[in-house]
Amino acid sequence: MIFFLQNLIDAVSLGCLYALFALSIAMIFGVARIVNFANGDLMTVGGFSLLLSGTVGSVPTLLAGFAAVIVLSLAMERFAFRKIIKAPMPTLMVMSLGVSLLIQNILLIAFGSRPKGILFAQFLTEPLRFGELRISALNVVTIAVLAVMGGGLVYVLKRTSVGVQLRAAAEDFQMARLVGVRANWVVASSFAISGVMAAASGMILALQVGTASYNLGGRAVILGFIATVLGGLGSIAGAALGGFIIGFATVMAQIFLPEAVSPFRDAFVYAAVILVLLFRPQGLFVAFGRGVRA
Amino acid sequence: MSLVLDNLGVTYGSVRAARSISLTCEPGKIVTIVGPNGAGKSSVLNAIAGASQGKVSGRISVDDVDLSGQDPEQIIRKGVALVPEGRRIFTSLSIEENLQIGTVMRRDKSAAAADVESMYDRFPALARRRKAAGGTLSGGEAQQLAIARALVSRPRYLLLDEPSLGLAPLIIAQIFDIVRALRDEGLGILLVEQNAVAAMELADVTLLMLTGELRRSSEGGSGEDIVASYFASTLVEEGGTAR
Repeated sequence: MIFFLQNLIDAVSLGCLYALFALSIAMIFGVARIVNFANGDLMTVGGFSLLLSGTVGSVPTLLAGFAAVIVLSLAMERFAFRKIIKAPMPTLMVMSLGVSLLIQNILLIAFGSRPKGILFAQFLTEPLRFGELRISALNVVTIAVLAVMGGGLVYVLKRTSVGVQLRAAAEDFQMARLVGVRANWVVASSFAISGVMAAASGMILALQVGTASYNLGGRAVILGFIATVLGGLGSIAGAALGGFIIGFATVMAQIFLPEAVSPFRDAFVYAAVILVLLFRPQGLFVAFGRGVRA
Repeated sequence: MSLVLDNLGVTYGSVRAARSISLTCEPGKIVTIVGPNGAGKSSVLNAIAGASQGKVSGRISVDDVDLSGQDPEQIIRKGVALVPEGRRIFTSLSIEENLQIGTVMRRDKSAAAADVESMYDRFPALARRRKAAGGTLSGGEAQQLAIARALVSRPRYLLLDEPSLGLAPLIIAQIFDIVRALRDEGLGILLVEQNAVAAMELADVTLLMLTGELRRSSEGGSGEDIVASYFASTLVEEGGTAR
């Protein structure tokens, strides 16, 4: 029982982290139809921001980290994508790859290629004990972060004017403009929210691996895209659920696969993803976005 | 004080969808453009609203303010609202949210909220289902919502693209009654319709559009010559298809 609970919490925690990756990707894709590979680099910058903790303390570090990633995300929208927002998707993808490589190389110049140790909030690496049950504090934090961010996102999307505009733009971008939604404002808003998710994802990722390196977010961005496609392109809730399912399945595969093949758990998980997409190419959950661009 | 098109042209690559379109729509008047499918009617409305995917030439002005080259979100702020073909209501948003988003460009938020409420009086079918998703509405209800969404922006000119499309005759009559009432309230209405006879009964000015050009116009009345030309063009079109 303890073994099961222990692994269940690990699975939920990884699912939550992957859901955060997916939300960061889906926010931009849902509104602007940009497959933004540079999202992974926003996560990397979030991870690197934790290096500040030795000099400015924990809370200012978190605030500075979030601020830096949001500003970088907005700068990306303003200077890289705004001018070509109506361009075909391959053009936008190449732009995002270019931005990604640019950020990675700037990080390489600034920090070098060797991973930097993170000393932020070391207590998070200590396990919390509930009788025989030992839970990583970071797992609890990861679940709490998704709960807060997911709840905040639902609130923003459902209860605020910006949220209604984002949902309208995700469904029919041109019609949203015809009723007066400012295109630049709504796309920038999606980048800002995506930046918040990316910053949180990058910080958790850096804390999990204990280091920050220039390619920290590289795998995360791919996972985020897979989760977004699995959930249903254009569906923000679907992306989060897709991420959760992949993370949860990854831990479960680790537990239930025979020892000889468990190191190859990812192959089994993604084979299952391929199977699902063969039978449901539109993804598991109905997408509300239609990809109208204007 | 009017919406004026002066020598408007719309081209998609090498295809000229509309050319040499000049017309005036005044407040409190309905100008109807009738014509067969593919005549270029919707291209004209989309060009006015800033939603054209093609290249737009000529001059579009509203109350002497030049709209040429402006984005859709700027044009609605100048008092010109489009109710597009197929309604295009936001199906994932509730009726209430569809109306709220129609007020997004307004700064007088309390007056905007009052206008949203007034739409429920004007369209009781919407009032009964405020929280229902737009995607659950019938065609007639969706058309009412699309018109209401445009009206809450307080336009001076309303562009209506095929409002009767896909609706039952009884519902069409209701929609046209609404259009007539809006005209009587002082709105300038540019109406594009394939339902020529019904649209002409409504119109103060009727224009016939064929293959991208305005061919005939009629001030009020039945405009029998236009109806005859319209049906003649439709027969030619059907004959072409049959071959």
